[in-house]
Amino acid sequence: MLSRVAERLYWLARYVERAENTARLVGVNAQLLLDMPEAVNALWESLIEILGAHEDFFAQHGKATERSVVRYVLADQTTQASIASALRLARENARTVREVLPSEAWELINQLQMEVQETAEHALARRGRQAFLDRVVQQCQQFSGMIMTTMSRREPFHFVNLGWAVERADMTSRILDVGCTYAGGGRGNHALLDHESVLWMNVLLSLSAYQMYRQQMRGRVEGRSVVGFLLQDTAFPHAIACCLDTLEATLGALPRNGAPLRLNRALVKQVAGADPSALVASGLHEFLDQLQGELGRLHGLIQSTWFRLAG
Amino acid sequence: MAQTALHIDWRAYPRTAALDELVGPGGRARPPAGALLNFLKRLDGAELHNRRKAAEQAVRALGITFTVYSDGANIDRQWPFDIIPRILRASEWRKVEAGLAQRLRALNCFIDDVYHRQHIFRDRVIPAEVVMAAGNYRDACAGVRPAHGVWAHICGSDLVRDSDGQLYVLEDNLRVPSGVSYMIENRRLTKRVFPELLEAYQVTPVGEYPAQLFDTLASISPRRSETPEIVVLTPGIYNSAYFEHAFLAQQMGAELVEGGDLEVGDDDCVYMRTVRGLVRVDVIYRRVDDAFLDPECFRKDSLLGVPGLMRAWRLGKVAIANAPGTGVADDKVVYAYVPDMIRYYLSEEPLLPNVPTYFCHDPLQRQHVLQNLDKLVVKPTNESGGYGILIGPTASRAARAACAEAIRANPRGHVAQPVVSLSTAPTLLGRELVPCHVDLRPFCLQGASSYVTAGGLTRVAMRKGSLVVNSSQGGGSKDTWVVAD
Repeated sequence: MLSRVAERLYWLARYVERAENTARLVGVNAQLLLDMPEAVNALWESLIEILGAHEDFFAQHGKATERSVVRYVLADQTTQASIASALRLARENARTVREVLPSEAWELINQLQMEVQETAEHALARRGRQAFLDRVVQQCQQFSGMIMTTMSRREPFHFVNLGWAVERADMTSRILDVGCTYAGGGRGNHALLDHESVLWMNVLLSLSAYQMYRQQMRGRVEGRSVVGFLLQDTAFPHAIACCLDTLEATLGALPRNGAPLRLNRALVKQVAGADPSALVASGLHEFLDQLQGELGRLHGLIQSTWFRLAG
Repeated sequence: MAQTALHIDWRAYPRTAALDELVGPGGRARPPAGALLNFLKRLDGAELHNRRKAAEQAVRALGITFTVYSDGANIDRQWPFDIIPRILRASEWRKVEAGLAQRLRALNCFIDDVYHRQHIFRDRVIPAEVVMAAGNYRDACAGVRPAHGVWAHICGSDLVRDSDGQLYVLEDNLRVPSGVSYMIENRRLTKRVFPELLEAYQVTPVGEYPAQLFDTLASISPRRSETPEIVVLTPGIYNSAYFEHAFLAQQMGAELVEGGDLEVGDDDCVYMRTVRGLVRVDVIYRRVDDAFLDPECFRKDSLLGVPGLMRAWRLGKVAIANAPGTGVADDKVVYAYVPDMIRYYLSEEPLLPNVPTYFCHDPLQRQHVLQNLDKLVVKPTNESGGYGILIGPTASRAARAACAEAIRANPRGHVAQPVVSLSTAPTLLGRELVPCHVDLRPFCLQGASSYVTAGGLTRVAMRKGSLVVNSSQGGGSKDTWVVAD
């Protein structure tokens, strides 16, 4: 298959996954702040951190308030970090590879993008916001479902799958990283420290991980077990070890996969060998920072191997 | 006639100065259309309306669209389709087929001659300056020898039927003619809407075109291989015919590529970038204009093209269809000389007539044109898509004056023809059956052998009285049947 088509499928999957994860993240945060009104602005600020948009956001806004953050993350077409932008980019990528996508999947993304463009502004107020976010999550999931059930397991599907897994691992590592704030890893915030277990619960909810965590891990919700679960569980789809396993299998099915596969194997080892208790005590942020860097390198190798062929 | 009435009364079908393809004098059916008209008569108005609704739903469901550029945005529009087919007699079609194949053979001889020894100029059959002044001659193509001496592999000629009943060739589109995918999709729509009718008639199928196109393209591959690598080169999703590019690629099992997917290697071969690495390309079916093919050779600012492509083609490392430079024969002045080309190169008499054409660069003819603007159709020689055409009898005084001005400023840029009273066919407009003007675009292929589609794309002017059939200007289309008579 053409490199261009592979690249657009990969990005299509990343943007859809990003829109879904972002919508869930905003929804969970909005719920949480009802429990802890005193920490409101710190929570909204941490959301901007998770999305990696700190610099961009504060270039335009003085303070991270509910109003400014929600507008930025839901509707702002000028930033890459918003749901509206992610879906617009997803649609643009889908449009150019219509012939390899199941046609219902294209139609769904096309409609969702138009719907979000029309309704995002109205979803900024609390009333109506949750319905909007639920709708985005559901439609993105329906898209993924269509791909899972109607696309042959050949190269086009593999590139979609790579996009999903890379984006998911990246998002999980970012959400875990705010956990560092709560774990007192040198960046402690007193307003948040009082609520440590609520906050770890919030981390799980942001990844739809709470139920699966409860079934898998016994005992109270605390830093080391949440980190252990989201880092090392090989069965939960948003856990990093599970994403890396998916990558391993998918990379394995593609031609000329040497370099990205080697890096992925090193990552699998690194994650499996980590000690969650020690990390929570100190060094979690540094560990995740490095992991994110490695995921970035993996993305770069996927690009140079299959998308940007040197003549 | 009002569709609230329970049936269609063909005797009340409006008569115009133009000939109708299906309905003769007194509302009698022309021979092959009898069963169709009777069938429609038996459907009540509501049923006809339902069938049209079914067609509209099918157009949406099948995703048959074309792209229109307006107000700075590209919009995908549903393909406008009239459910009532147009019928052609097989006996007539056999002659048209032979005429189109003959025409394309002569045009290919002409292009090959122009880029080599130019006998036709030396023998004074066509004045050299007429061809050279048109700006379509490409120096870069001189001396190149494409396979089988064929430059134009795909030709879409526009045919119109005048009130004398004769089909005339109005123009030959040799650059990147489009519409063939709609011909195929229209038949799919009819199968959904009127299955019982197709059972009753023996309609020649049209679905084999992509296979014929594949064979034609394979026959010009520079490598002798069972499975030549064929690609369709598109300018991209914003092109008005992108739907067709994707359709043909899919139907031929060829990759749909953009300029950025291709590169020319140090060995002067063309490669496409795939996830398995570089794969050599044998044949490029390009839907990109000459000027954008190769920034090294033509427009430097083109992002659609492939640097070095012309070099690869000149060296015979890759075949391009239609070949670069083919546009030299796609010009409204050159068109007027096609009958002479047929006699000159093939020693045959033309099987299909041209519409008489007046050249504005000739002082006498120009004077005639300027004095008769209200009776003539004036066309810019180098435009397509129906842009810039003046239809004298219906144009405003101001439009005619502006046209006269344009002719005086650039005589070579204009030709004029008598108004051909395009034939009509019954078309459902709102709740009425209205005689609307139609033309016909068959597609002709030439590689190692020739092929002509059975019928072609019938375009219909879906505004009452309008003569403009282009889809970019409010035209629609009809399924076209070739049936035994």
